[in-house]
Amino acid sequence: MAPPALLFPYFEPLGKQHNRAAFSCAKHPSLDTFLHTQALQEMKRLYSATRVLVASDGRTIIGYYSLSSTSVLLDRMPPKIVAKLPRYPGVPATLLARLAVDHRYQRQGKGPLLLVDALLEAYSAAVRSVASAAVIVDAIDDAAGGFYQRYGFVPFHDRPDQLFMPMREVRAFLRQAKLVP
Amino acid sequence: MRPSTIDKRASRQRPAVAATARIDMRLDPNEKKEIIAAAAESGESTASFVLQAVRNEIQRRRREREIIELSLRDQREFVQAILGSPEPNANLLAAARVYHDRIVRVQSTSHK
Repeated sequence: MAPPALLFPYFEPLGKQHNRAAFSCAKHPSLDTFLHTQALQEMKRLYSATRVLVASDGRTIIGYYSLSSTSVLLDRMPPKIVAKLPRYPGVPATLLARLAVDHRYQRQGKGPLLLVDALLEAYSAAVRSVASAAVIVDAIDDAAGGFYQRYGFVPFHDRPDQLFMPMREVRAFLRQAKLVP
Repeated sequence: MRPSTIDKRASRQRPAVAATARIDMRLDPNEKKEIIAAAAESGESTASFVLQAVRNEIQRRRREREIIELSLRDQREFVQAILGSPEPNANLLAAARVYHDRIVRVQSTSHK
């Protein structure tokens, strides 16, 4: 019996089968270098998790993103508020430190797909075991900041290169989109 | 006796246990002078001075990634947001429809 045909493209964890060296976002060398040399290492060390959107050949990386855990220091909040926080003074959160699309696949709406998968992944982990109050993103430039804002992320006033979305909003979004029960 | 001589003799007698690696890099001659002077000032070899500076930078970056420090107003806004119940963003919902129709998730890291 023939195996069921795979639908492409698909998301999966970064592995050795993927052609990392060919990836180029053609804009930020640091995003390319990370995928070429760091991403698998960091996965091995359980430091960050990278997932890739794979093209129909099963090797070509259309885009990738990396998640890790972080904490937000809330050391100046009044006790009344602190009592409501999951942990204090460091509130656990999920960091989406990198998200990039290969230049041959840009302007085709791949970025939003990567973002949706990242939110789904972050929420799945939060629901199962890893407490997380928000998803925080690092915007590498103004264009990236604008991208995240269009999809609902709010920039910090005094850290404009970082934006966040509360995990409650992520959950509301995923439920309404019927991506989670 | 200079420390380097001791090192050489020791390594000749028994092979070093830990492997060593090199980094070769080009830099501005004036910058090099500056680095050597700064190392001498703190009584260190240039190599250990540079290495320590790099280690500190790696540490700093790691800390910055692991702990996000916010200003008072950002702390307030963040707390309010995570305790609230915000509505999902319309563009995100549109992207999710495309995702739902076109994307297959395999071997999610979260289920491994």
